[in-house]
Amino acid sequence: MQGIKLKILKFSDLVQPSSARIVLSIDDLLVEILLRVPIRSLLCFKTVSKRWLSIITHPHFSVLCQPNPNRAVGLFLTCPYSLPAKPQFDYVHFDKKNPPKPPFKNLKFIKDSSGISVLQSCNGLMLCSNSPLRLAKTNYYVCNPTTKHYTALPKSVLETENSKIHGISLAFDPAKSPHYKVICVRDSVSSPQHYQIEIYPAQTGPWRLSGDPFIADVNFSKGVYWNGSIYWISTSGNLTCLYYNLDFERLGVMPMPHFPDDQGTTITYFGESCGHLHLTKISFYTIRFDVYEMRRDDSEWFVKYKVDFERPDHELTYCSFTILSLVRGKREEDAFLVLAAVNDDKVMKYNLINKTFEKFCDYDVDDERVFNCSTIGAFEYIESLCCV
Amino acid sequence: MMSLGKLITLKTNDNEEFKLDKTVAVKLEIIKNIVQDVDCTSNVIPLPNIDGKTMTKVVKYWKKHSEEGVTEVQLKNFDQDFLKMSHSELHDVHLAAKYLDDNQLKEVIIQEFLDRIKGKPIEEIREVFGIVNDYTPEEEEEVRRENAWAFE
Repeated sequence: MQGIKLKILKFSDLVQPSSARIVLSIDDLLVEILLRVPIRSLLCFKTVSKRWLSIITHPHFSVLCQPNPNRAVGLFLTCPYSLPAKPQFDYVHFDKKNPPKPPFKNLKFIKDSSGISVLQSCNGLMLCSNSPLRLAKTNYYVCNPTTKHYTALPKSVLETENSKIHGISLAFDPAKSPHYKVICVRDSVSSPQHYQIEIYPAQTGPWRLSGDPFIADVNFSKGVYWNGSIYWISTSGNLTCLYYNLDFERLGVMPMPHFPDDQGTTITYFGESCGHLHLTKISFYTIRFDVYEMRRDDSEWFVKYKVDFERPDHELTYCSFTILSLVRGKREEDAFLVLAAVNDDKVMKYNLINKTFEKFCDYDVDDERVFNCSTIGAFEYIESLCCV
Repeated sequence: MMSLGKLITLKTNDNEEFKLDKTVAVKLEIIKNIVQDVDCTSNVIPLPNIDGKTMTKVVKYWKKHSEEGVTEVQLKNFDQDFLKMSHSELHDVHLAAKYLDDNQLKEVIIQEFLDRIKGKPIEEIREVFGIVNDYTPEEEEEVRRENAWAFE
């Protein structure tokens, strides 16, 4: 940490009529100015001087300048036809007026002998892994795609026990703490056929076991962090949802909404945006569906959006699509879906309130087959200066 | 409590005195608190963190902004003119506004700084803040490379 003087401004610090002297550092004004500058400009301002660099990279500053909630400004999409050894990413910027240069096209800034893939995006940080050759152990990284800073996660002692990893998830909420945690679900060493949770608190380390071995039927490879817990759902059969609360280090089962039975293949969207957890289940060729949101107190799901793509006033009707992301904003009317439309080879924005479609027009795909694939990895890009 | 229309006196750290109509002064939290505590107009309110030169500017701003019947346009023109000062003078006024807990004036100063640096190349930003570049060319290049995508 840089040895700079950075005062966190508090009302009580500034106004104390009785106190004889109030010493204010020149940095106070600078900090107040810089807190109003967009994050992208702050990256440029790092070159002004070493003092500016130390203010902008200071952990306290990075938390202060993070709006809460901090909405995604774009979406990284994995190119399904890029080689696993060299993963490539497309980037869709949500503000079509001024699409900036993508923060990255690949994760080569992480020094690893094999290609780096994204596993999860969480409030400005990303959890990544390499694609090792057979028998080699996977390396895991937490990176900040904005600052291009990263850290390699240490290996757990269980690595030597050949305990298979089923999923690894990042838990990070700068509004609660500047330190992230990583949750790993792996085979239990003590109880066969059971899972075991291992937790890595970045602030203190090292990896340690948490709770007892357990049995579950969910997909641990796609964890979602929301409201202090990691949530996993089953992606086949009956929908079930398991969560692990990081504050109490406790597992729980979440009630699920009742979806109508359907014979067709279904796809599910499960994700978080600006502090809201969303879930929907869609049959192929459906044009109407409900998006559910979980209440803050974990008590129940409620129908947040009723989506109907078959409206006479729509120029476009999509009956074959994948939901890449549901993005919320400060205002209700800012909510939209990002859709990959199969027939149209387009990434579309569907405003959930105005019920309007919009093409992300400045986005060209090199490979039109991309959108025939319903399993595109999509990762929200949230600007952040937070340290890893 | 004092009666309306009376003057109160603010005294800066270089012993300059400013007589202000109470209705102007008590708009500020800090003055209001002191006035209530002291409960007397004969007492002079000391401002140990502000000098006369800066206070002159602050008082000028307050008086204009509490003028009766002053229009938006007039205030805008006044502000524009008022803000024509050096970086260090702006900084002093900001410190004073902060001490006096005048959020409006504080915001005006911060916005002025933002306007002065918005869209400017790094060299001009250094000029605005009177900063000497303490990077070696190699160090600066390194920081620039790391954040290359933001420089578009």
